[in-house]
Amino acid sequence: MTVRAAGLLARFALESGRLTDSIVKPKLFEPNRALELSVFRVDGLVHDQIRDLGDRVVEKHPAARKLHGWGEFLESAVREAGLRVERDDDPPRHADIVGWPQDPSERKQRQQILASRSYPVRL
Amino acid sequence: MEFQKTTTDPVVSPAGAPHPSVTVAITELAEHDEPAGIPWTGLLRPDGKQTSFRQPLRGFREVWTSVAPARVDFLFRQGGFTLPVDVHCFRGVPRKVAPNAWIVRCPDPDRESLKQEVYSLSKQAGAGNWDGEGALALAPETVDIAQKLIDQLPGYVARPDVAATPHGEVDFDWVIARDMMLAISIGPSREIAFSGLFRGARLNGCEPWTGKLPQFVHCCLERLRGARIE
Repeated sequence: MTVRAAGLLARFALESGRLTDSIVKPKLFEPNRALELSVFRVDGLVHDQIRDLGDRVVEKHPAARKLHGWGEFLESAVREAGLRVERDDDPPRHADIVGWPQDPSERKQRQQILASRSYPVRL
Repeated sequence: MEFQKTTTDPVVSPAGAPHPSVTVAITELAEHDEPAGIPWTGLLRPDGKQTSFRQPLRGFREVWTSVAPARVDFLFRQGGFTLPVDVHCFRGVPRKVAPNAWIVRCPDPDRESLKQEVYSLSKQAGAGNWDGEGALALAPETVDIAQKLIDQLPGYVARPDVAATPHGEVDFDWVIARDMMLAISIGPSREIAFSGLFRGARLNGCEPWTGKLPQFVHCCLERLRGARIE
């Protein structure tokens, strides 16, 4: 069991088609209408604990049916994309990635940067 | 000149929905525009490639049956002279654009399928808050432009992932590798937004939709060409 390193974040995939065996697709990092992207801090957790965290997210999400996996990335990738992480721990370990530009092409570029710095964990 | 049109699907598609494959009977065209007795011997494509038929074909109908669903823009005859053939098949209706000028274009099943997928998005994301987080509804005009954009994609382009965004956009995504990807989208602003990672290079921008795919997007698609999907 691998304990995740400090500063590691996870974005849960609640829809299919967001992950392949080797790639996290940019669509996984699409912010909502309010330009917030919900993520979780997973430093110090092992695989099963992260999965449990994701299952709880699925239970509370109005449209999600199952957890397809997640993309793991370091907080430094968020800074590289010109964004920032705001912790609220509601629920525990939850944070939002904010600072998204309004311009759609700029926004998608940041999604692509995060995807390029992420690693998929498929279930 | 009237043309007969038959369709394999008797159901009339709702407005905006791409037509299913249609079979076009162009017998009348052959009778009125093709000098009798002169067969078609091959194809000359816009890229200069030539394909000879195994045997000469008589009449546009035979040509249509033989070459569909490939795109055909020119036919040439015995004797070497080229007759531009432009039978524009817009939703199965042939269209004459000039004397002896017809556009022959068969519906590309992959493109039609992609258009259908885009049309389906209008059902999934046609109402506000479709994601439970305040997403904008996809406007019919956005879906319409997205379908027209599909028609503009070069023939070598692989099928993209298609999705609606919370911001009222239709996204086309090509993900080749973690450092090789391109996204094109159309949204309420009627601008084509594009963004790509190309092995270390980062490109993005917006251009207004003028009915044609922006040249810069063509360049981005060309950069993906030949890249192998990981």
